Amino acid sequence: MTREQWSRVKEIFGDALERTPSEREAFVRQAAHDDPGLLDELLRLVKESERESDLLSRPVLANARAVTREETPLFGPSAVLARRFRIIRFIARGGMGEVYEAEDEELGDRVALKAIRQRAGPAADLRSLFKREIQLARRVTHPNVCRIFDLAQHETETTEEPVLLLSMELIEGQTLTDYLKRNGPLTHASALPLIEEIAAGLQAVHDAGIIHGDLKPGNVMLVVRPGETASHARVMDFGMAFSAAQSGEAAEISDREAIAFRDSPDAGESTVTLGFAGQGLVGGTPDYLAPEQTKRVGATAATDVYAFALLIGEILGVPRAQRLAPTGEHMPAAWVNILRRCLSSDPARRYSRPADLAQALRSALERRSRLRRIALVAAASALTLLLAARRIDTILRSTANGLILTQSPSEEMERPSPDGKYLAGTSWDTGDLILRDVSNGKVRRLTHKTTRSDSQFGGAFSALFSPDGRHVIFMWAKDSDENEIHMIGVDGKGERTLYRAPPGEWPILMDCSPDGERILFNRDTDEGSGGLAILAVADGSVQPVQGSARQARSIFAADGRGLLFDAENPRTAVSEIRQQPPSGTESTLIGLPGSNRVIAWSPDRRRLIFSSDRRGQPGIWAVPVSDRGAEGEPLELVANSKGWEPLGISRGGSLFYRQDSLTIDVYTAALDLAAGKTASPPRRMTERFIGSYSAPNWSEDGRQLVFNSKRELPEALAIYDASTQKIRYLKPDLLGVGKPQWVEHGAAIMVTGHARNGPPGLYRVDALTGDTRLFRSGRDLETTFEGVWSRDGKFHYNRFADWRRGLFSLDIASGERRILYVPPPGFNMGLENLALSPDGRTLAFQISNQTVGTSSLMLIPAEGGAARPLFTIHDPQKFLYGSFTWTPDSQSVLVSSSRIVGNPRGEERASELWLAPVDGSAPRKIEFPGMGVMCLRLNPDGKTIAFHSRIYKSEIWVLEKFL
Amino acid sequence: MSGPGEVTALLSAWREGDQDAFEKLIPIVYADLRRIAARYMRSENEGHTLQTTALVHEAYLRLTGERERSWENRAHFFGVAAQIMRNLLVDHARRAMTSKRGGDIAVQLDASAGLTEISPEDLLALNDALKRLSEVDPRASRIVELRYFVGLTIEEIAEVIDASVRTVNREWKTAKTWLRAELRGRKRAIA
Repeated sequence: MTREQWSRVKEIFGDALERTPSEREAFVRQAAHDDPGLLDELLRLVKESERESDLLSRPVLANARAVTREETPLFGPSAVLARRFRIIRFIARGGMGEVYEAEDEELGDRVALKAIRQRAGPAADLRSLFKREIQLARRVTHPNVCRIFDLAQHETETTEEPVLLLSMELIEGQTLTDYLKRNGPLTHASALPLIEEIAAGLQAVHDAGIIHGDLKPGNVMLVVRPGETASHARVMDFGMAFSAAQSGEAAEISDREAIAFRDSPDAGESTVTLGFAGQGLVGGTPDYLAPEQTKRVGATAATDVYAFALLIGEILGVPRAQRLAPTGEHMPAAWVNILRRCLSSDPARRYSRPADLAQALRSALERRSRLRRIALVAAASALTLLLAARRIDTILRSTANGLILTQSPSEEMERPSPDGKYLAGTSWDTGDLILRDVSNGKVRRLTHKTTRSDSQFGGAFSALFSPDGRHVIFMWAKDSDENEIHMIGVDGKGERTLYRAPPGEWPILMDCSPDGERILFNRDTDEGSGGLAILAVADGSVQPVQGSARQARSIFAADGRGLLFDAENPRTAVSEIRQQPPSGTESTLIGLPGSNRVIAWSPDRRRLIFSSDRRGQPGIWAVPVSDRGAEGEPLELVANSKGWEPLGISRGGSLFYRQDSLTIDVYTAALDLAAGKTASPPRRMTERFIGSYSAPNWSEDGRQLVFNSKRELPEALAIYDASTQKIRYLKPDLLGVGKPQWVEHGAAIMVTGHARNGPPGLYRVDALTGDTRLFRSGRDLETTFEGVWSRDGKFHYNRFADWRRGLFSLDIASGERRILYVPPPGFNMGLENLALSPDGRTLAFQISNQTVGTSSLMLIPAEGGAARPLFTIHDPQKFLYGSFTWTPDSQSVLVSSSRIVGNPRGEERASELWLAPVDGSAPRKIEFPGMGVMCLRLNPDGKTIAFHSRIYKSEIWVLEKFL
Repeated sequence: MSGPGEVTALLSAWREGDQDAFEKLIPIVYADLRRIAARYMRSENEGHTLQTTALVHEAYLRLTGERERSWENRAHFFGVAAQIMRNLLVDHARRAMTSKRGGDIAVQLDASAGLTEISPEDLLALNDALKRLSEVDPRASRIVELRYFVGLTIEEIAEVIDASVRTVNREWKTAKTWLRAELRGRKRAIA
């Protein structure tokens, strides 16, 4: 045979194999009719393919056997088993037996009946072996577990041995195996709720003292409950494999053969029992067997966790060959290590509880927001202050105050070095610890930790210089829930781990003792502070500080032994600075007047530098402190430090501080929606001001735009007239004006607000006079959200204050309220930004699931009916921001999808505009400059958009020799 | 798991005619190859190519003591692994066929160890047929080696030789049928 002949044989025969056996001969005769030699060869192969042959049917050494399967069901319809179960129909055959639908005549109910044939073995009574498991299993009642009812034995003439019957809850649904076959793998976002349900079910099984022993997709049922669309998971067949194995039914298979068998492609998902002569037995499914199951070590909860991790891989579409070591290709990077940990061959390394595994997966997704929160802790007050008023910087004494750095969004500088030459911080791009040279701005990476799995969430945070300036101490946050305190030389050398925090603890570094021997840190946890603790650098020992559970900021006392910290005075509810000597009781060091917060010691550690608003506005003060306490009157160093976030004081007496500014401005732009383009680029329509997150709103005639102005205090409504391009202000007598919208054809503006002597609720503001009166109290509406109005004003649409209760329409005349929509479980952001189509027929709103990172724009008929998603974002980095608006013809919704870049405090700079037709055709992207867009509103002219855009700046300043 | 010393000792004992050594060697080699294969597949995904290459090299040294090879990619490794298995089994079958007990097929590989279900006779015939196949279709022959001698799944083979699952499946089935036909024809000719 030549290559050419073979390649023709291969081609034609390959095609023939893809036909049914009966068609093959005719096919090859047709295909090779002009070449008798070729035809002979093909006919020989066709004939061979019809024959039975064992040759090459399995790998040469893989001769392990699956438990043989019966070909026909044991029982036909109407058969009555054990004088109790009347067979209705045969459902399926599993590895362990057959499953029927049956009528339990004792209970008068339909059940699923599993018939397990007993084989010859040392144990005569299979029933006694199952008994213990069943007794335990019967107690498990959990929404994610298939209930087990009873055990019976059926004697029959046709089978030599009695048949064991197990009655279980009859579940309508499909197995996860079938689901995945039909629908393909799930995204991690859609898989998480399912994983959590399986975990809950498996946990309930474990809590009852049962090891499942055979967890796999075929043992998870997906059930759709009445009135819902989402599937729910129910775990079945727990404890069975283990019991089956004890039955002595096992095939004699050695350790290595078990491995070979697992690797054989034919093994698939069928449950087998593997036996080790005289050394105990295990059961399970080859693909899902944990190493210890083939190594004659007993199965534990960790064994199920192993199988669970494999199952998760399968749900996510990880190919079989990679399932023992999944990669970020099929799941978020943060999940990879979690699953790998569960696939460790050492059971002790795995999570011991399925619920912990599910929790770890969820927390990993929440990790990013968590890190952001840490970075925000210190800056939060600065932002609040900034929003409240314009800032006036007054430095009392003549010192040089200079901007040294405008932070890039991808970095977060935390502390100056003692010599004031460097700043240490975090690179958000890589998570590495970085040093920035103050004199030339150059950045140096100290750590090079970033591996692919760590880069997404982990990183070096909370940097702190040692007093000699030669080391940086930092928290190393890992993908897993285990964080560490590290120390590294400023030359990037000699890194070592000082402390490994227990899972879930975030050791936030506070201060280093003057001798560099001890480090003060706060044990931050998800539940709040776990208190302060002191770490000894020399031996890594950790000493908790008693009674320090609520402290935020803390430093060592002047002598380096006691502590100073901010604490709220329970009597006055104002922050004061307290001191805690090494022994003895704590006392107030600096209290009223005003709120006082500790910053740092002066370089000679004789004066305490602190912030205080004792003169009415935040300033920076100093007071001499001795062993006896504060001595003399505090001296004001900086008269107004609004928005300053002190980072530290250098030895030379310079104060480093960060100043963040956030401005929100209103822009307009013109779009050509038909062409999918921007007709005229965005233009800031106002003077710079500090804006809000309340969307602007166009009047019905499109001539006026109303929005909140926080530039004026108290807050005002700004009304922009498009024809004159002028802005006028209305000042309703309200605290906190929000979400203005036009009503009564432009005669009035409805706002949310809170009158001085009235309840929070909806207020009507006269568009000409600004006269304000309560329209509906929030209590009456059960919400303080603005909602939307039908054009005739007869209906109000809103959501309940508790978003879980959903969306309602309110008939103003009758007061009748109808629930239109209730968000499905798992959606944890609720409904945002309701928008009624101009024809009044359809409501658009947003639901999102912040945890898994999806947000959807939903449509629902205003009269009630089924909701459907119109536009969904699956990228956790992107969000809708409640930013969408109807086109005047009610045929499309214009949506902006935004992305926060780099710095977690969020300069949102990349938004996309999409036009989503309600007929369900594909959304179209509108060309638009890549600036941040929120609160998007389209003018009734169908062209002009108004939107808010925010600009965030983070600057680091130094105030030299300010002491 | 056995160390390199044991493998070397077994190899030389077997070369000197110790049949028991072979019975001991085969499971070690096979288990080791499978284990390495699994690790190889995994590590490759992490991009630790260097480390993996070292691992494979080490494995090969352990198994054969041969040093002069290049190790470029996983296909190469599996090809070599498959050849090791093939050679070991074929050599053994040959010895069994020509053993002093003379020509009769008394010593069956699976008789004592329960390892294979193929007779030495069939194994040698298969080896010959596979040689002929490799002359006209090296890839099909390699698929058979990887499937039959290393026990890779179709999906794994597709990954290793960088072909689609469908192609591999098709070629495997065709080659399998052809090999079966060849062996059947040969038996008929002998009879």
